[in-house]
Amino acid sequence: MYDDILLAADGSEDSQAATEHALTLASGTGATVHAISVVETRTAYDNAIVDPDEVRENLRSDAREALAAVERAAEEAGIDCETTIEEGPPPERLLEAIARTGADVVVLGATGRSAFKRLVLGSTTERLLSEAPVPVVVVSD
Amino acid sequence: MYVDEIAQHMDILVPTDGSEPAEAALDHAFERFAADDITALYVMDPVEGATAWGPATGEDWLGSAEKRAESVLEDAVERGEEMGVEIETDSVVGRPSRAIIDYAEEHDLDQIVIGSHGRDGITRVLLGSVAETVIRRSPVPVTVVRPR
Repeated sequence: MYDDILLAADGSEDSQAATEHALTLASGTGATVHAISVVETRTAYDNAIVDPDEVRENLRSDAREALAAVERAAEEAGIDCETTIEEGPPPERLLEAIARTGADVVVLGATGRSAFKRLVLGSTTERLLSEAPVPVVVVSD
Repeated sequence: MYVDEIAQHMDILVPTDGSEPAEAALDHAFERFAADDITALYVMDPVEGATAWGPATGEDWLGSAEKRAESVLEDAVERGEEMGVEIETDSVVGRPSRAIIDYAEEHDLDQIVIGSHGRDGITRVLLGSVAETVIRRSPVPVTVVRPR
């Protein structure tokens, strides 16, 4: 079993399935789940029409909600859980988080919030699959 | 919210073709899931036995594929024994990604642990085609392991 599990949580359906799996892996082993939600600072909405600060605040609030859901589920299951919100490009932040937490595995959803389901893997998932120094668990809803 | 879904015990499938990434996947399963049930699966691919004159046919192909399966799976069992883990083995005929997913479904397995590339994997691609298809179509979580 694992000691430290890094979970990428973005509130998507796949990410909820990833949460279930991370908790299953941690269940009864004393492992800690480090849940991280990354707010992308540059997004498709990054233009003059929409106020960037407002977009950012909305994304931060989504991230907080996603992490709160993970925390509740972990508490119910009696699993140690730490949550962090980061800002920036998700692959880089996740790779940094692997190093910081000493995670021995990363769990994430197959597609992120916007990808076409099943046709393609999310770009973050692809980057992690090729660059993560530890095994990557990909979970679909 | 998720608690009902949490199982304590897992049935884990590790497809193997004897390649280095497949061995890394086996080692990972032995190291992390020693208390769970591990099945090593070898897929005998008729297309792999095909020639320029057509697909593989007859007992020649099947015979040699079965021999290869036996030797790869024996290696997997020995690898497990070295780490004190007992495993089950099985082999099926089919196209690898489809066969792996069907097997996981039919046997109600909880997780697939797979190497990032197969035996014929071109190392310049980041992820082998079998691993990629399994990730995209698997009904259960897929752990991708790279050789260390």
